[in-house]
Amino acid sequence: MGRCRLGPPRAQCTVIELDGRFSVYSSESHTVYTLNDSASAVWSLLDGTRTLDEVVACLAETYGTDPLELRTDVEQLVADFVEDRLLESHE
Amino acid sequence: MRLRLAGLNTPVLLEVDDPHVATPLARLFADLVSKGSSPQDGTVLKVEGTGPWRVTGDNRNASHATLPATMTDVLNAVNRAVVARTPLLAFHAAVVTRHGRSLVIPGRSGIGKTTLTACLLRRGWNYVSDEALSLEWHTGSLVSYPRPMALSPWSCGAAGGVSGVAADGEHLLRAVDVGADVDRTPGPVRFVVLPTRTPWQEHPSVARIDRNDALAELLQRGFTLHVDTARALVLTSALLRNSAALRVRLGNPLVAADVITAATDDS
Repeated sequence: MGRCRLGPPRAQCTVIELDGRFSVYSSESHTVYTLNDSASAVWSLLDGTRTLDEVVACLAETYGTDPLELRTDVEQLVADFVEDRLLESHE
Repeated sequence: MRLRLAGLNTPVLLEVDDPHVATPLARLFADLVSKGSSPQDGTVLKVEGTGPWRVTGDNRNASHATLPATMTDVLNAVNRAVVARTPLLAFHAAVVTRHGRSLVIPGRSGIGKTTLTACLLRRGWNYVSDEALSLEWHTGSLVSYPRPMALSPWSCGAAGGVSGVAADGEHLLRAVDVGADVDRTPGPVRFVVLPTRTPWQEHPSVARIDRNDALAELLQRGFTLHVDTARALVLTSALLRNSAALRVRLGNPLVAADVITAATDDS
């Protein structure tokens, strides 16, 4: 996953942003996903232009954190988004 | 007597045999009387007999030995009919207005929406609905649904001693019965209030909260979200972007109405 670009959101998804937090409706699963602050921070970067490494680097810089500490959580979150069919998968 | 009603842009024809039932119903539903087209395609509800009274129509057939029980059943039957068929995006919420701004109180039944609504009306707000925040799907404009309010004896006391038509363990009232007007063209939503019941002795308080909490509450209370959930999400978030979300600890609801009024006047 490290080198492929992540996202963008699938066409079947409707995404709204309110005060920095995202809610995503999937017309495939008929489910509204309300993302918390950290999930929203990751989601905002998944526009199809960045790899996992770049997303982690961007978050690490923003929050002043070691990328190694973030990577596992971000990777899992992105995997969840893909499993829930919220993101285009490039695999 | 035939009463042509319209609620949530949905026609209902109410036919009542007994003048002792018809007269109070005509007064109670006066704010929903349809002045426009004939509801030929609408739901027909009938109240038959002169005691006991039978309420029929819309897959309903119930007999009542008392007038109060009949009143409650008719109110609920009309509400069920319009909520089930409304062409609007509707949420379970009360709505009042003041100075052209709408305040929405979403919440499940029993949380105190109608009691707080009655108290706000007593403090100078105008009535839109104690049941539904309803929006046009295309424009997001609010639609008024000023159905009669049903207040328990406790709520009547909490609202400062109001009373109305006796129903089944409750009183049915119109806005005018608490000295308020109906707002038929409510302005944009500017406040979403999430009420929390607290002991009567506790002084009410208002605090700003994350608007995403209000979004989550509204999405849980959607009557017609399933029609177009994506559009509903877009409309609801747009509504909240122009609103403040407030958590209100109720205490004495009439005092809470004062606190809310002061807090929203300051915004």
